[in-house]
Order: sequence, then C-alpha cells, then structure tokens
Amino acid sequence: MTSITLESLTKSYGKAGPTVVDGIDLEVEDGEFVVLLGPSGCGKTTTLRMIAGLEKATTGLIKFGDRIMNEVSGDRRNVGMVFQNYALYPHMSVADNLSFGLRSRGSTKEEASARVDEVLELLELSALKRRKPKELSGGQRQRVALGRALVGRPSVFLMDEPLSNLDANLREHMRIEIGKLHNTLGITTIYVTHDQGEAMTLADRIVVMNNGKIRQVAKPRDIYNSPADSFVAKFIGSPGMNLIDAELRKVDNFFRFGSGISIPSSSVRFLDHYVNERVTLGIRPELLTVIGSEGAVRFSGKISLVEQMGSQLQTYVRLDGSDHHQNFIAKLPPDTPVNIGDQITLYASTSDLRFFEVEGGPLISSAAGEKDSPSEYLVG
Amino acid sequence: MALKFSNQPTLANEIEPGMELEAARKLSRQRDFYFRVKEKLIGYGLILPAGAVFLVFFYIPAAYLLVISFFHWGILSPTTNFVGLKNFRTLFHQPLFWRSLLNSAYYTLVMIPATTLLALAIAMLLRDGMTSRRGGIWRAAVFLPHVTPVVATSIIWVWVFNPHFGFANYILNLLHLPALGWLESTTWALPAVMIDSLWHSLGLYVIIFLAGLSRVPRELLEVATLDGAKKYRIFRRIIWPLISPTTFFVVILSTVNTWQAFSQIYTMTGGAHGGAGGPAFSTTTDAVLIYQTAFTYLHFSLAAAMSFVLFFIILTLTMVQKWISDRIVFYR
Repeated sequence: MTSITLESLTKSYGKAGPTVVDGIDLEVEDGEFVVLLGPSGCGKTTTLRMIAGLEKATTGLIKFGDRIMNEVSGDRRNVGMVFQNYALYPHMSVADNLSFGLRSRGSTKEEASARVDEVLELLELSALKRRKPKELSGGQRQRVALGRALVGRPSVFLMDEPLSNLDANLREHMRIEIGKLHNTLGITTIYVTHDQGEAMTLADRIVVMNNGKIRQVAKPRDIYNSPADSFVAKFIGSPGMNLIDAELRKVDNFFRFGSGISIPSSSVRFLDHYVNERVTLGIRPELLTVIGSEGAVRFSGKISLVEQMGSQLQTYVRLDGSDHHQNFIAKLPPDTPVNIGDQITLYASTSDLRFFEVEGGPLISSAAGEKDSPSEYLVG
Repeated sequence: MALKFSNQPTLANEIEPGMELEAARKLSRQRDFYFRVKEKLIGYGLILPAGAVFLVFFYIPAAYLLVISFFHWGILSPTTNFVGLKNFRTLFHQPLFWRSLLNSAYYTLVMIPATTLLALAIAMLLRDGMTSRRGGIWRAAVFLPHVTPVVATSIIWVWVFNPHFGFANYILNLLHLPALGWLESTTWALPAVMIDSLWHSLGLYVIIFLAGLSRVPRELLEVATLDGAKKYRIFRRIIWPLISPTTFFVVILSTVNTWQAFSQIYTMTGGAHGGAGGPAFSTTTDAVLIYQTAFTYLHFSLAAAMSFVLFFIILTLTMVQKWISDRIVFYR
C-alpha cells in the first residue's frame, strides 16, 4: 500500500487539442478511499488512467509514496484496475482470468492456483471458477473483475465506474461489497464515478471535478453541507441545491433578495460587502418546509409540478416575482396537501442558506457565519 | 426472414366485446396467418433480385455443369451422348490431371499460410494508426493492389520476373544471390506466380484482419498490459483467440480463391500465346487445365467433370476447416 500524490497534473491531446485534465493537485493517503466525482467529460477517468500508467501525463508529477511514477510503465506500478465494462477475457475461465496476470509475472502454476483460490474464496466465487464470463451474471462478472484486480496484491486499487453497468439493486449490493472489501484489505483506492450516491457512501474523501479541474476535495458530509462553489452545490444532491441569482439590496433590517425574498440582516452580516451586487442564493430542496418558525426566510410561489416519489413529494415551484424561469424544488412529506396551481409558501432557516458569487463563483460564506470552509481545496 | 412492423395493428381492437370467445380466437388466428404470410412475402421479395442473379449465373450453370459431366459433349458436336462416369474415369487416368492437382495443392498450401500470416502481420502494424491520417494512407496503399486489374498487373510482374533485365533478379544481384530463371524455370515459375498473387490479394485480407482487430476491446489489452503481459503473450493469449473467427474466415476465403486462381497464372505463363501452364506444365493448376480442356481442346464435358472434382475438393477442404474451427475458434 502507498500514498499517491498528483502535482500540477495536466493532460492535453496534441498542440491544439483539448486540455482534459488541467493542472490538478491531490494527495491520497495510504489506505484512503478517495472518489473522483464529476459529470461526464470532466477528466476523472483520464486522471485515473494517468495514475494507472495507461495515459502519459502531458505535464505534472504522479508519485506513489516518494517515487515519481511518470516514466514507470503501468505493469510496474503494481496497480489493480477495475474497468466499467469488466474487461474480462471472454475466452478464459474465471480462474484463468485471475491467474493470467500472475503467470505473466512469472508465478508458477501452483503458486498462481493457490493465490487464485484464496481470492475466489474471499469473493465467494469458488463455485464459479471454471465458468466463462458469458456464463456469469453482471454482479458475478463484476466480482471476478474485482478479484482479478486484487489477485496480484496491488498497492493501489483503481476503479473506473465499476458499478455503472449493473441494475439498481445489484449496484447497491456491490457498493456494500466494495466498501467491506476496502475495510478488510485497506488498500489505497481511487474510485471514479458520476454517481454521487456511490461517492457519498464509499468515500473517505470526495474529489469533485469539472472541466478538467478539481472544484473541491472534502469529506462527503462537508461536500454536502458546505459546497465550495455553486457548481458543487448544484452537482451534489438529488436534485441539487436550488440556486437563485439576484441583486442584493438592504432595506431596513433586511436584505432583500430580488423582489420577493427577505433575509434578516442580523444573521447574514457577511453579505454587507455584496449589497447592490448580484449574488447566488442556495438552499437544498430537503431543507424547505411548509411550516415556518419565526425568523425563517419565506419563498412564495405557484406550484407547477408535483412528483410523488413515495417517501416524499418533489414539488416544483415558480417563485413570485422571479425574474427567471428556473424551477424551485422542495422535497415535502408525502402526505402534504399540495396540487398543481396552488399558491405555496416555503420556509427555510437562515442557517441553511448558502451564498455564492455569481456565475459559478465560490461560496461567500455560510449563513451560520462559518468563516473557514471545511473544504481543503477551493478553486478561485 | 421475419420483419417486424412497429405499426402492426393490435388484434384486441378488432375483437368486439360481444364476440364469442371461439370466434375471437379464430379471427385472431386468421389475422396472425395473414401477417405471417405478408412478412414472408415481403422478405422473399427483398431477396428476390439478388436471388435471381445468383440463380441464373450460379445455380443453373452449376447444375448444368454436373449434368454435362455425364455426357460426351463438344461445342461443335451435333450429338450429345450419355456416357455415365466415363469422363471421371478418363480424368483419373490422365497424369496431367494429377499433376494439376499437385500444382494446385502446392500453390494452396503455400498461399494460405503466407497470405494469412502476412496479412495478420501487416494488420497488426497498421492497427495502431487506425484513426490517424497516416494510417489511412497506409491502409489505402496496402489495399490498392487488390483493386487493380489482375491481368494488367500480372503483365507488369512478367517484366519484374524477366530473367535478363527484370527487377527481381536485380534485387537478387544486390544481395549477391544467383539470378533465377523465374517464369522460364520449372522450379521457380509457380513461386513467381505466388508472389504476384500474394501482392494482389493481400490488401483484402489485411482489411478483413483490421476489422477483426478493431473488435478486440481496448480495455482487454490495457488490462493485459497492467497484468504484466509482454507483447507476444498479449498477442498469443488475448488477440489471437479473439480474432480466431476472422482468421477462420480469411483461411476459408483464401482457400477458395487460391484453388480457383486462374487469371494471374494464365497471364504470366503465356496464356496469350496459347501456352498457359508452362514451362513443362509446372504452373498448370486445376483451373488452368479446366480452361484449356474446355476452350483450347473444346472438350466441355471433361472440363465439366474436372470442375465438379474441383468443387468437391474445395467443399471437402471447407468442411474440414469448419470441423477444426468448431473446436478452436472462439465466438463471443
């Protein structure tokens, strides 16, 4: 096992080609489980492939421990990698898939067989060792892929969206399996996904990426509570944080946000610097209620759509006086009596509000007055 | 051939609420029958043009060929007599027929592995540049000979193999090797034809192999690399098994093409002057002998019997290859 350090890592394709990874810095501790999370095309898979040695970095450094790995070929980095589509050798049995790497590295048949049996037992695949991949279910194939990555005792475990080909139930099951496996083996793991559920449940830390850059590195809870910028705020959560761009004015003891939202100025004094400027207000849909306490911020509007989700009602509201056409979403209890076309007032505590500079800008500060963001890495 | 129509009406709409159950079932069966007939008619209608061409230019002549092989029939003869298996007996007693079979077997046994291995090697070299502009130029360069007319290029090869001022002997001279008689030598005439055939046909097989190689998932090669496998092991254990259906197809195709090779042999060995297959029958293959028997000696029924034997040989070889392939080819 080893720590991994990325320093100003960049990947560009050709002189005029796109820069898909743009000078990222990251430190992954020994035994840590780090998830690279971001939308498609954000550079997370390319980053993983550079760590694996399957892509050459254009500039920057990749270190395993203190050793610079840029010029070390993939087969000498001692990494185990799991691919999105399993990448099992279709013409080989499960046992042969696992032993191929060991035999390639010079293990004897007996050594390879013993090690393969050990890993198959760990993954409860012993009964399937003679089967070909096409005779396995999706979950079993994924376990074989995990086994193949583990069998060589890698010091780094890399996973590229390993669960994306599985159905929802199996994905959840395999997610738990991967979590358990990491707890058992403690191998330094970098896991790429665009599924925030996987990221939140598996990661020690999440790295949110967009357009080839790291937007935030933090623990799952901190990413959710204190997003570094409005991109992270919108990307994390399902649905993401409600974001409203409007001009901030001060009227008496209130900040007036746009034409309809008033916030007591005593609780958000840090906004004084932004009076008469446009800022982005954010509030998570699950923190909105239909019953408000004194001092709560009100959001009034007309209901445009109600989605029954079983455990909640996802309610889409067009805010009054809103100068934009964006829907404001609230997750309400499932028995809330709301209908399309109803006028509704939603309430949020000022401590749950987040403010960002406009156009994807960074977090101004939380309404709770936490001046220091818990995030280790903020862009901009 | 079954076609599915997304706008096919549902029968449930036509079954009225008051209708007896049996009547409804009958109506449903009738409608099913009509739809099946309609689908079949459309299917057969679509393959009819190609089928007609195949029937007129392939199946009918082939059947006619089999029929006339049992007759004594010449193009100038006013009568046609049924002779049973006499043509086949005559054939098997002719030393030249056996010589032609040996020549064809020699030609095929050299050409199949040479074509397959060389085409695969070139395809492997071109594989990495599949998407680049330079790769496209190389692919075109390799494929170009295949689209040139065989007769025209074979005439050029006759010049290349000219023993006195040909390019082939010039190269041998540069390598300090003795000059060869090439097309004038009973030993080297068929190898010279093979070189021409190889040059002409290779492009097609390279393209087929490139298509097969492009279907090997990149991730498998990457996993194998991370697994520590060296290039030869990756080829032997991953690529080779995964392209085995392509290899099998190339082997079948080259078997058929080499057993039937005619134009290049005819052109290069003096067919224009009536002496194809020389010198001393060293390049007389089955196809050449069939042509000469039919169109030089005008013995059509004997040529038909030869063609039938050739067909049987190719069929047998193909069946054997299929039998082998069922045991070693991996189909995903």
